Amino acid sequence: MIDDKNIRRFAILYASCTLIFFIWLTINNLTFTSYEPVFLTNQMDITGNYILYSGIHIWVMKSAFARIILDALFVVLPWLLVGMFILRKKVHILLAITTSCFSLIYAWLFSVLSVISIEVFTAFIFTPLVFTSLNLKGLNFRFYILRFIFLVIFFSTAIWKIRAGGLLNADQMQAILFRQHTAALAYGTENTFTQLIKYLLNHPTLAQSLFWLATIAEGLMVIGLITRKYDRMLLLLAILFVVLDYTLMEINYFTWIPMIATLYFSKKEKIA
Amino acid sequence: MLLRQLYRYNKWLFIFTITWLCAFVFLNVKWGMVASPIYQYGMFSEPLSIQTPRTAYRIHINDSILNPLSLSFAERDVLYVSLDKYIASAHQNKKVANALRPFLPAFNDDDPRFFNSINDASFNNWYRNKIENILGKSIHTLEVFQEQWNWQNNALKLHSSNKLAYFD
Repeated sequence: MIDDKNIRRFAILYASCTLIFFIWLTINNLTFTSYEPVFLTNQMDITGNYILYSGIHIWVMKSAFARIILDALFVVLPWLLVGMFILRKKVHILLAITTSCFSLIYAWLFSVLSVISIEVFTAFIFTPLVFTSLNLKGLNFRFYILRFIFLVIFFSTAIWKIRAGGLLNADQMQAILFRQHTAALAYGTENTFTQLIKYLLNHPTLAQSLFWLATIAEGLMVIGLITRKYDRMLLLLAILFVVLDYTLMEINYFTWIPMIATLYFSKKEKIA
Repeated sequence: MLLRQLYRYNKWLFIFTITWLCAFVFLNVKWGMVASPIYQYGMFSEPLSIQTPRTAYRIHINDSILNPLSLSFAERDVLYVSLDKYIASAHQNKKVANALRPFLPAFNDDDPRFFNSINDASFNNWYRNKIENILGKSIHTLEVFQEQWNWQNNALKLHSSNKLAYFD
């Protein structure tokens, strides 16, 4: 069982991730407050469309106050939750559910009003639910459910690549890189980054190998569903995946760290 | 293993996990709609071709072309992806409304909760503000070209270029 100290460390890591992500959003003019959304691009999401039914997004588009409140709650709620959890105040259970629901609404609004996909927020939606128990055993079970959800999601990405046909498509990675960086290649000045992308575009075997290796890394997550023995290896693969996604694809999946961290803390388990 | 232990420990927690798993498998097998907080993580899974032209936006600010590499990639998204999303939004919103109409309480075709009321002039103002905020300078002239590019014979190839009229 993971002890109280490590559960608390996990909680602080989660709250820190929300803060760091929020700082990143602020620096890049991406918070609701600085982005000031003015139009909606709807998504095929049934639950999400019930949220739209409430008209909350219209309020966000029209009111600066609404945008400030949303942004503030995104940072304050996780820290309040973690604070109450560490202080062992029972209110943390209610706060955990509230934070999870709020994160879902915040993420949905972001995906339809801004330029960030909802998948980026997955960890912020599920992680607060770990703290909906008062006892250590309950916390442990919820922690391992989070680990389970992460592994299933990550593994499903490999299945998608096989099922949809991308894996066996010879120029898949070239096409992805070109799609991700068209503007940079067409209108950007030459630098190390564009040279690297051009090199990969001109070496399809190397580019495609990266795609296969990423798919293998995703597929290997299935091991974690069977045993915890290889969690350190899976942890390294997941971190490598996120780092390469950021540097090569320019997608910020560092937000997944709270879920990835379950692979780290699972090895902190004490033998009773 | 986890599920078996969970079943013994707490039936409600077990039901929550099984429900999430079943819904996740169902929505992923079904392919198409999702239901927050259950999503499909199939990005970049469908076969793509390097030959297919890809849309990019050439942005002229005060008579010089904006260098995307002078911005962080997230700022680039604000300027380039928002343009793309705005252009796609009318069609996308209609498509989603038609697909989800059977699952939602009734709404009209001009319901502001599901369709944009913003016009091109308002978008133009908003977009200029975004550029000014990000670049930290005033805009005197702005021109945007929607272009189609692909990668052919180890080099970029321009296929088409159209000036977006609403920035005039």
